[in-house]
Amino acid sequence: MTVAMTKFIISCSVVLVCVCAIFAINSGGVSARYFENQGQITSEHPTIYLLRNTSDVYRLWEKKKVHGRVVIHLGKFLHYVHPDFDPDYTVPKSNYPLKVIKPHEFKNAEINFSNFLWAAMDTGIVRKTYNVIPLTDFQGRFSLEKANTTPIDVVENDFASARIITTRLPSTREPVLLNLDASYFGNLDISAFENQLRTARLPADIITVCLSEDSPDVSEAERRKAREFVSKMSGFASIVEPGNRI
Amino acid sequence: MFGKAASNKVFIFGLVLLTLIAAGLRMYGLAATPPTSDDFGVVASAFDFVKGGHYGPTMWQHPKLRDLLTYVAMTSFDGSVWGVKLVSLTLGTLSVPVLGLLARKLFASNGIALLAAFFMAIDSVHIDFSRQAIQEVHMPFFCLLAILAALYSGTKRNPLLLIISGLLFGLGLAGKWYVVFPLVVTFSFLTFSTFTAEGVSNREKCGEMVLLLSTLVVLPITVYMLTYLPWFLNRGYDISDWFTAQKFMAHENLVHQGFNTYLIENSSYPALWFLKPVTWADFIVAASKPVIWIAVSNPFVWMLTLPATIFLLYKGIKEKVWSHLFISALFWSSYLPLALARRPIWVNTSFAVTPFAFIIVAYAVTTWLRNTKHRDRFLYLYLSTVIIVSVPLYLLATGKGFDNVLLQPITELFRPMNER
Repeated sequence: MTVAMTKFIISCSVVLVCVCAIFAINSGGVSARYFENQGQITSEHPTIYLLRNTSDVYRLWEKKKVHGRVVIHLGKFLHYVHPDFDPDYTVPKSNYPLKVIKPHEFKNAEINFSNFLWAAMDTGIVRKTYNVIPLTDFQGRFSLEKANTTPIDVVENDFASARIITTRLPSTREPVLLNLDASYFGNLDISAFENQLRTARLPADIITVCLSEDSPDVSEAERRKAREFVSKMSGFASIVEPGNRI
Repeated sequence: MFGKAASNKVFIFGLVLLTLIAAGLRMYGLAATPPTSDDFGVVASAFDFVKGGHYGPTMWQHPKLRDLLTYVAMTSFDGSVWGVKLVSLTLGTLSVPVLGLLARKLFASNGIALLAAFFMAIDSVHIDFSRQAIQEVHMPFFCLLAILAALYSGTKRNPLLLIISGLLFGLGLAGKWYVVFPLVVTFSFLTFSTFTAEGVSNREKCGEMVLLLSTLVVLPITVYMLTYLPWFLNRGYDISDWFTAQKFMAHENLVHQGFNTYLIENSSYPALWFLKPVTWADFIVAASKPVIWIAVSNPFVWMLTLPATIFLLYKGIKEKVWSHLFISALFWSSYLPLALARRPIWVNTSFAVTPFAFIIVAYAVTTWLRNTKHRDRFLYLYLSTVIIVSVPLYLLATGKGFDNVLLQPITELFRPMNER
């Protein structure tokens, strides 16, 4: 075997090992995701959870043990206020030896309408969020002219984890956590929205409609519309009302 | 033969001695010095990343090798000073002999090698950051060793050494991205020498090119990616998410203005690094009094850099010496992007450039002295001056300046504006 051939074989071996390593790391990441009814993409006869509070949405996801997911949240608000405490590993200022304190376990009251999406990202339930906001609210939030209806996405990140704020339903092949907040239903045409949702055929293994009774920023009218939407969906979807707080 | 063997023994003895001096200067009094605020952040970030796959809280926009290494050190040594700072101490100290070996490989001169290693051993900026948990002194170690391995692969392109070089470049990249500049230069020079080699068939040249691509391009990228393993496994990310995260990091690196307002008061213009003494300051309040660490560049080394590089480049072009051109390219390719950057870049990033600067200044000093009549006297005078100046700089870098009646006025210069 010539020297050139030997080097070529070594090069190919290096590339092969690298490709396998990259493939393995990708597979490892994907396998760390947990879906409800893993492997089933339900869009024909979905189950919709009708929940009263935004914290119930978080607790449902926690109960279902979903992990590493994408959430599509339809609502006016971002629910991404950072708490005053540091939830992750902390090191109190002291002299040696330094002590590493474990992450804060969220108590019930600490997850609320202002931060439940942040909490879901922080605990690893979610790895990427889409906030789908009504167009008028989007325009107001980003000081856009009302005549400007060109769809744009605002891409943020929370320590390199993507947060996309948009007015459009994203398309995705991966099953998502789909949460429809009552605040989204304000001026919505329910029938048109239902059509849009069914046409989008979003693969979602956990679908929640949240009445946001814990949020002072959501009106009763919006909650009525949310209930109206759920009632319309009950024709083909199974509606689950856990009733009590989850 | 005997002369060369004796010279080699002297070189090895000198390098070992300088390494021990470097170790001593970096470790002296460290356990009695309180941790910096960055030290707390680095430890928290290490656990966040390895156990939870989280970026941050400290320097989230930089790659993650620091987190991995710090986590290993902390779990081995608990929260002691060794757990917090062992990585920087070790890599900072070992950078000294590696720099010496690289200089020797480039210039085939023990004198240049020992002088370059000496500059790094006593450099107060390098000492300051070798005593901190943050990653600044990690990259020079991996980068210099990678270049050394690549050069030692020689004209025959020893595959094992190239693989080692690729692994080291990958680890360097996983410390900070600026290692990409020396990587590109090393790859380019080896490629150039491959294609201009005489008496080598085209088939062999193609084989060597493929080897260079696999070991110095594909392999470093893979190693870099593998350092994100906890992020993938803990958080369920995939390769497309990874590219997205890299874009976010790149954007932050392009616009980063520091994590606190005091940083703006620190020197942040790389264009001035070699024109005047530049500084970096950290402080913390411990036992009701401030501890202030101030890293100041040694003007008798740093300010010789630009004339030395011009001199080296001139000699390299005139005499067509590839090693001169190679080290010049390493320096300028690393320095110019920083000097031309539009955002603040602080002295902690100078390690992208200063190892090459030390080699070049060592070359210029020894070359100039070689042609000087009383070269020994000038050499001792120069070394004495460098050492004498480095003494107060060492006290400032190790946090002893505030307690020193002569140096306290200097530390007061670094009091935040809002406290004056």
